[in-house]
Amino acid sequence: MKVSFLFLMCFLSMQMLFAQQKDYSVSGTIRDWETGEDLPGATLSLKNKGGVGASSNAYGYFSLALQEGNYDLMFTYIGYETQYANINLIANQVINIELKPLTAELSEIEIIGEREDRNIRANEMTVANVSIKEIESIPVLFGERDVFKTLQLMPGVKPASEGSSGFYVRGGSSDQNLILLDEAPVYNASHMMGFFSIFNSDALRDIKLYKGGMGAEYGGRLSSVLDIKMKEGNAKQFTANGGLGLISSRLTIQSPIVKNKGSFIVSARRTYADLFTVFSKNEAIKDAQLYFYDLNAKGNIRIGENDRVFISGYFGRDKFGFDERFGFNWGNSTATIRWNHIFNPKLFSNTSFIYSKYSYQILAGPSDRRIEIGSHIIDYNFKHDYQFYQNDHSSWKFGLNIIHHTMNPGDLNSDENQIFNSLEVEKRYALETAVYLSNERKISSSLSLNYGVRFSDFIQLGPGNIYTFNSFGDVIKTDVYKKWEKVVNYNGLEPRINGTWIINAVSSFRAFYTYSKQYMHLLSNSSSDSPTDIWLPSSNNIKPSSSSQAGIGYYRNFKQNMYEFSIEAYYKSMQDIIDYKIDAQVTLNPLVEGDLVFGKGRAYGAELFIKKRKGKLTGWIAYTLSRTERLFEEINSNNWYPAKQDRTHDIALVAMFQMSKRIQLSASWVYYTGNAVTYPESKYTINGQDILLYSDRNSYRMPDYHRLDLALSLKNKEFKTVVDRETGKLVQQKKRFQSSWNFSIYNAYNRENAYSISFEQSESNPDVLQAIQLSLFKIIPSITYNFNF
Amino acid sequence: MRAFIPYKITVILIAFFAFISCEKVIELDIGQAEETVVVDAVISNLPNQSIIRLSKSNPLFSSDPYTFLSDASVRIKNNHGESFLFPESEPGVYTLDDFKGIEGLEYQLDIEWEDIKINASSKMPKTVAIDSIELVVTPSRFTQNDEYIFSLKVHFTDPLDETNYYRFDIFKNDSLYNGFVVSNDLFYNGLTTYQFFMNQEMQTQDTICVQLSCIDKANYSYFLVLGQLDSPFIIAPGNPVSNLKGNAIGFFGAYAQSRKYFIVPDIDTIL
Repeated sequence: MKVSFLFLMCFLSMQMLFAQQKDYSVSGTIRDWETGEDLPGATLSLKNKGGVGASSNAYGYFSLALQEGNYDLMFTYIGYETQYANINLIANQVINIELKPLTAELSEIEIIGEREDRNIRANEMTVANVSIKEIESIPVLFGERDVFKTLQLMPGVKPASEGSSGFYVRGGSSDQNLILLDEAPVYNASHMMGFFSIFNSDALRDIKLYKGGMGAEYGGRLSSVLDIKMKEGNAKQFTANGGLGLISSRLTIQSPIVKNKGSFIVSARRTYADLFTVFSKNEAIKDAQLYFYDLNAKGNIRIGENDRVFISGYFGRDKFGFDERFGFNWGNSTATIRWNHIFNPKLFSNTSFIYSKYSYQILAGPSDRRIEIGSHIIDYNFKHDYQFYQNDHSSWKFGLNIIHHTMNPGDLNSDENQIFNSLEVEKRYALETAVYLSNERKISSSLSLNYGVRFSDFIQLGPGNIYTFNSFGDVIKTDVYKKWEKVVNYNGLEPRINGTWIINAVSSFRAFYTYSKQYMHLLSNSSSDSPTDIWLPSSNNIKPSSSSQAGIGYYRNFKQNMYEFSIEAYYKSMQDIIDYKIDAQVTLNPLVEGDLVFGKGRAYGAELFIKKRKGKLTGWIAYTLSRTERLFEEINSNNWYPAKQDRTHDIALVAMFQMSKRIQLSASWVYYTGNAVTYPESKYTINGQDILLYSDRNSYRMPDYHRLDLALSLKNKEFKTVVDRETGKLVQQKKRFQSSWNFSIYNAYNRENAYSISFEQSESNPDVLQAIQLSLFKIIPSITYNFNF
Repeated sequence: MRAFIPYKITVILIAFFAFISCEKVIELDIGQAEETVVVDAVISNLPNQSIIRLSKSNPLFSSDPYTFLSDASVRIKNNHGESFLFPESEPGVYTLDDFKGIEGLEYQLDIEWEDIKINASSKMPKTVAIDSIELVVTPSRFTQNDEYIFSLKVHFTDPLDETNYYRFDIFKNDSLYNGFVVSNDLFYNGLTTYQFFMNQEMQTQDTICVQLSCIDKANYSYFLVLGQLDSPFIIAPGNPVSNLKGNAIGFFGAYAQSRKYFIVPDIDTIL
């Protein structure tokens, strides 16, 4: 089965290479004129011939096959001036383009022909595109701009809990999001229990979130793909920018290695939340350590005309220490080496070697009785991807992805004062492989289709003791496997299809179907992302999860692309998802697979999105109406119950007002109906203690959540007055050192939103219980000073 | 292991330094569940410690005391064919003078009250005795005054050849002060170890009784879940699985118990 599939792919590839007409390719790279950064998704179209065009890939590379002739080319990208070029195409031709960013004055004027209708034309289904500029304008917690928090303002994306940067997409759980940082998978993308994400937006260039309809080149997670690309670094000149804030500070340095040929970027961020604890009168809190840091580094160099090599890395860590007797640290490290190679104008390839590690460590006990609990997951990943630009109406993507996983679910090291045995929960190993093939095809001038298939294969490997359990969770069989010995093998085909029908110049209709499999599972036992959650591979006890999602969408632009409107509806069903038995022991349990239950889920909803793109006032409204439910035989008497993240209504309103050249005001308001939650309904007594008797799972709702955030950004004078040497007159020159102040208020009307509700004895009358609501954040103002030079 | 991860402290600390979190009492319109019969039944190998309590659940916010159920027929049988009727000694409390359970026997509980029939079974494990109790006094780091906090270390030796489940109860002056702490020997099978109880409220001259019960897996699972229920961080709290059959909640356990008593001495004598 697998062999014949490979033959089919080879045959198709041959077909593609030979089925060419007499045409030539115009190809090249589209970059930013100021910094030399690649512009992905920029468009090349023909001035005279509508319906023909190409867009640049993730590295800014484009290729368009045309018949011999003379053409007027037009290069466009949102936020940049359009550029024109005329070519006489008599042989393959390479054009490298640098687009100039629009200045503030120009962006108010409509520029004819600019491809702002990209949301109508592009065949990308259900993508949430957030620009870096928007991330910088939106007010957030503690004044820390954050990728995840901005994504949570998009329809269909829900935050995990107050302040948390975990998220749920269309009813999926938080382990169903594939988070890629320059192709490296990130297992835990949050700092400080989920209050911040690990992404320093100063180092990022492009952020795309696929909520459904992802192409066949993505796999391994059911609900979403968050594809984050770092900046390459300014290839033209040295720049530095950064900020000083109340909670954290950051600095980014970019520089060319060889001007226009290579560059690097180093970006660092550190919080110092523990500076504030010094003010506490309490001894224990005074000594508390609480900080995190992020370091992103990347370099790239062009070798000749057709090759480019990149090296990038990310290192981040959270450290929490309380008293000398308790410490907790966790973090990710990733490293990627990548090689772009252009075989010929029609064939572009990318080869990457990726290393990714997530680990945490808990230290407890006084120094004479120290106990260390640690856990980690390490991936070695090889990716080989091709893009074949066949002709002006067809292009292909195909490739291979191999990941070797090593999971250490936990080991406990106790010193010689043995009150606990040192324990190692055995490591788990797996090999996850995939091959894919997809085609983007323009069937007619108004109908295009992107279809493909991914074949994924997962092998759990030895060495190790493999347990088989009965339904009570007792071990009935233990088998011993040797290194690299196959324990169990799962595989399957994952078909993907999405289509766009362009109704007219301002509206389009899309539909998609995606089938995905997920082989790695996150076991989580708390209501916000805990760094101690464990990743486990599919095994003889755990089948891979899978999901089918189908959706439709209608897109329309108004008033010459000033307003963008869309409405999407989806239905998703999930199979073989995991939950815990009520008495499961999660931490350091070698037999945890016996404490799991398996079931299914379904989610459906509609998302409405309206965005105003141009003018002094810009912003958007996002509204999601949705439902997500689960069904497990052992939970809730085998009845469907709402998942915790089932929030019926979810509204986000964002507005940015450019009051003057130097002053920008922004506001965001979110409202959502509460999470599904399990409350006690009565109480009883055991041995003189009050015990709560709980309702059916998730049959109640937390109170509604809403919050307003405001921010004001004040740019210091951009220009200084100097005397022009030649004319002797006073002229305005742009200062090298630019700075701005950012003032923000989180939760501006000071609403006490419920973080959790617990039931405790009343202080005045210990026989009576009261419901106590804990709110984490009331009104929080903050100030940040930003600079760049 | 749960004790090593003061999750709640961590989150509160983060909110603390932002000095803006708050707690308040709220009104909740929670539905009234129907009353249900509650069984709290323990058979012990210690004399006069086998007690069966029968009561009814109360609405969540009620201030009324619990109703205890009288005139039930409560019977204990063992697998040697013996049968014991437990008479009512206080309203809803059924005990039999001088009754002592025997290690290794399987016990069955049968209750009939009005038209409700309940039964359950549990096997009494072997006793593991408390080796010693150590009282640890440390200066308090949480208050300004010269206060001390008392902690207890309960030393015992776990048998190697079986999986043992334990439940710890601490009584202060004859009433239960700290109960329902359970542990299994996953991390200390065969070792001499201790269970640590930090920051117990005690005063000089208090009589403290520490009870170590060896329990079965079903009871371990029941109290493990009970002990977690007051944490606001569980993904979805639920009711423990009861080992009772019949229209009732609660549990039945045959425990092999050992106890140690001590009186809290004057601080000056310890320091």
